[in-house]
Amino acid sequence: MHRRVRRWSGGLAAALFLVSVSLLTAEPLLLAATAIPLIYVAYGALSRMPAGTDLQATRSVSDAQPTPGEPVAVELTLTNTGSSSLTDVRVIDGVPEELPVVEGSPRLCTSLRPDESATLSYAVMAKRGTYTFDAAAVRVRTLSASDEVTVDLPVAGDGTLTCSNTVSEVPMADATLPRAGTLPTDTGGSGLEFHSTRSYQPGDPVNRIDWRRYAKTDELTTIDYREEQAVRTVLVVDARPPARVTPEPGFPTGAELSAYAAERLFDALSRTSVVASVCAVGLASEDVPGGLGPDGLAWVDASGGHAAAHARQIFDSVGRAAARQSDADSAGDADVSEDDQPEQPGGEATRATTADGGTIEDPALLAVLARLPPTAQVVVFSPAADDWPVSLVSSLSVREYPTTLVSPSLARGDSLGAAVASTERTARLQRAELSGATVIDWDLDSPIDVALRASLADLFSV
Amino acid sequence: MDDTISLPTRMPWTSLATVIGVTALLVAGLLGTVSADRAALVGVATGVLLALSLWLSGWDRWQAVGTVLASVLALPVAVGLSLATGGTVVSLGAELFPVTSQAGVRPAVVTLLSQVIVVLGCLTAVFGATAATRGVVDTERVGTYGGVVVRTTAVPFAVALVLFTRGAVDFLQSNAGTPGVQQLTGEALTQVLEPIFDPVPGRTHIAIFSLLLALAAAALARGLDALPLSELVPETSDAPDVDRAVAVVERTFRWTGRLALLVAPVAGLFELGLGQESLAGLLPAGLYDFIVAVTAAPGLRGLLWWLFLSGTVVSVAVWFLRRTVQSSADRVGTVLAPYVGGGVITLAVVAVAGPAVDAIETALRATPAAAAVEQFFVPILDVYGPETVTLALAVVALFSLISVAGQLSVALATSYLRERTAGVTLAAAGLFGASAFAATLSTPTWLVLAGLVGAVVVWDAGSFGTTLGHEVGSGAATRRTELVHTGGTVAVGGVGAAATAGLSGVARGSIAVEPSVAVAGLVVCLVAVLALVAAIR
Repeated sequence: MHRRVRRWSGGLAAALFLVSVSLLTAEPLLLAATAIPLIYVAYGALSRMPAGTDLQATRSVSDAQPTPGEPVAVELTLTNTGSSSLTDVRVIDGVPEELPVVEGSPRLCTSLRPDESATLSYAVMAKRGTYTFDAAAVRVRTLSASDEVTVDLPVAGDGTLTCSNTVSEVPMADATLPRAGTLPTDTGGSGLEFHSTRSYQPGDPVNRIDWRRYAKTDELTTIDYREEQAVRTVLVVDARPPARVTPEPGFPTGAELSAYAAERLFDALSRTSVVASVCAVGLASEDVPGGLGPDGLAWVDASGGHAAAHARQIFDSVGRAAARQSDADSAGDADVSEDDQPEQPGGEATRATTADGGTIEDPALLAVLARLPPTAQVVVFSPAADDWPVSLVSSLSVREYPTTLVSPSLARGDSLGAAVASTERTARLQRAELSGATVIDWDLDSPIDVALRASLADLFSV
Repeated sequence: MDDTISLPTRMPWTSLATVIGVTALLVAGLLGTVSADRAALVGVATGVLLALSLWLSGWDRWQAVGTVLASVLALPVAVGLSLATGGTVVSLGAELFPVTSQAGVRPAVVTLLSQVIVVLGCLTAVFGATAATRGVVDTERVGTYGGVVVRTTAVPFAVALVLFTRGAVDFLQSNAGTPGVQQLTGEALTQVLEPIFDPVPGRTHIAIFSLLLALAAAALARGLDALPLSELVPETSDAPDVDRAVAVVERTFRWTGRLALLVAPVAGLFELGLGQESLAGLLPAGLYDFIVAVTAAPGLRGLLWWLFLSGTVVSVAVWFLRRTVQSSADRVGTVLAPYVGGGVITLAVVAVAGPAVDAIETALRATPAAAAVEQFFVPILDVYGPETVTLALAVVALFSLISVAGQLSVALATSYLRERTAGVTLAAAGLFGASAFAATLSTPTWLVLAGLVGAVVVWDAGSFGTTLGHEVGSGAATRRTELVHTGGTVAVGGVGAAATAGLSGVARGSIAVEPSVAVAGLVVCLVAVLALVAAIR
């Protein structure tokens, strides 16, 4: 697109001004000085974009398949392949709208001689999904800035960024898995491991009668083995608004990270044939395709068909809810996001009603407890931004559910607020641990697999 | 490339440094040619203060504080504006006038005018360059600032008006003895005011007294009603029953007022129709004497008048406070701040009135207008007092500031100034005008040419930088392009300056031969060049 900018036309007015002042004050110098504005007008009028202007651009992405929350360095190199110098070249790289730039600027303004190159470096925050870079917008101006050409310059080199959200391999391949999908219990029955003996009762299976003892003492005795029951694993994702906090703009929220961890665990569990249910707390009905259940929970049971697909829908819903919230935040008051910070009255209320042995009044918490099957292992995923997950974990421990809390650590930076939030979270995790749950503190700087491996190993060795 | 993306339109550092550096150098150079040094310095300071005030009035973080500061700064800015223009005129007037011959008048006037315009141009340039650093000249901010200044002016204006009216009334009354118009107005005023405040003794004045009583009683009842007396009493069982007592007093006042209002016309008819003798005959002797003593006492009249005033003031103040506590603190701060600032300004002006008037008188006496000082200034001072005169001068200065804010907002509204480049455009225009008029003073040619080219460079670097900041953002590396662009502009300006130097040599020679023909020829040449340029475009 070619455009002429009439930026020097004020020179004519300046010339007239000088003439009138010159006539008013009888000063010949000013009449001669009209040469100055007029030469600028001529400068603007005569300056033209040189023929044979040509530019080429190449982009390189440091890591085309990063993990979510990881900054990815991008470099765009612009080369003047034309025959004339370009005094004013401005370029804006076509960063995908969804990816926030976290370091540097994707914009550059420079002067280029023939065959000279300039490089533009910046970093974007990776998000789940595949993103395609657009063509770079380039605007070239003449020295007088009165003539400009704007083009969308196709860029050679890397053009996409894929942030995968599935596990290519089961991360805990080397983890000890004694028996997938079963939980040893403390009751005797049929099984493999010896538990106890008791006197024979009519109807006991013949193969469990202790024939040796019968031969010695002439008494019928039945051997009980340690019973092994198949259990369900329930993955509870905390996606309530207080969990949708983010340490810095563009970084995934606590809820998204929780969902991400849950999704990876779900995939791993599917491969090891554990019966896994997925539950997300705190979603609105417009976030979930098909709406929420009557108790306000998004729940997928492993028994139903297409469980994996439904579970994935729930994980995606968490991302949608977080996106909706951040839209609302940016559209409305900036204070809204602060309202979701940990130190909120909502958290206080929950804490007050779920003290040890106290009553529970939080509807979401009650709904989760009501929905849980009698035998289930529960893995709770929450950034522990308020006291709700601690209440849930302690309530589960009281009901003797084996419970694990996986908590992504959101504290970043050295600000006072971050330090306070981090201390509060540590205190919450300690309380959860004291109530009997296994706590996995997932530091985001370490790979997610490490935390998951710890989580899974723990889960299966209960 | 999307121009609609609203990035912060802060210009990059290099362009900003160019704008500020060139402006500072040129202003220093140009002001060196002006002989009124002090006025010039005041002008520069005023430019900076005006930009600061604009920024303060749009300070979102501490809105109330910003408004108070902008409001209080209004007086220094207004006085600075007046001193920069008036001070230059006064100090130069003393220097240039009286001229020896008739032919010397025109050059003297041109010199005076040029110097004033150079000072004003430098003021504008400093203001524009300072404003450009934060981009403070925009429609919203100028509007807010205008509102603040108008509200600030309201208080000194009202006080000055009251003082002026009082001075005028006193003066006109004292003039009743002098023949002419003064006598008429003075007599009229005396006729109106005397029956109210200073009645003729020895006769009854029931009607007017009743009217005054009715007014005072009504105002007192209203004031009592407005006061939150019952709210202030503790809510305990043994607390005195204030409510009832207040209601009784208030009812008494109301009925007194109504009664007095009823009595007034009847008494008036009796007083006019019957005359004093019949009244004295009708009434018992003691009562008549008592009525005469009460209704004609000037002290009692004064008391009633002050009661009326205090009742009115109390009800207005309470109404105002009630409104105030219902608003948010920030809003109250923002809305009230200018009035508080106006009050502070009024007090300050009244405090320094004596020395200020003396200084003005001394300065004026040094000018050719010394005769006018004796003829107008001194009598006005005698009649109205130094406080009123100083306050009136301050109000006039504040009005000039209001007009500046108005002109700015009109220029912005009509897009003569674009919001984005308003600061640099003002700076460039100021420098250009100042340089042009400096040519008529004893300024070296190189400085005039440097000023003209520098004004263009300031505007070019500023507008280029603003566009750059808008398109690329201040986070990107842009210095190289900025330097190359500014270098190009300076080079072109150098060519223009060289051409001017050459042309002026030719012009000077030709003017020595035949001035009028040469000027006419140059004008024709210029029109031809303009036409050529228009054709090229």
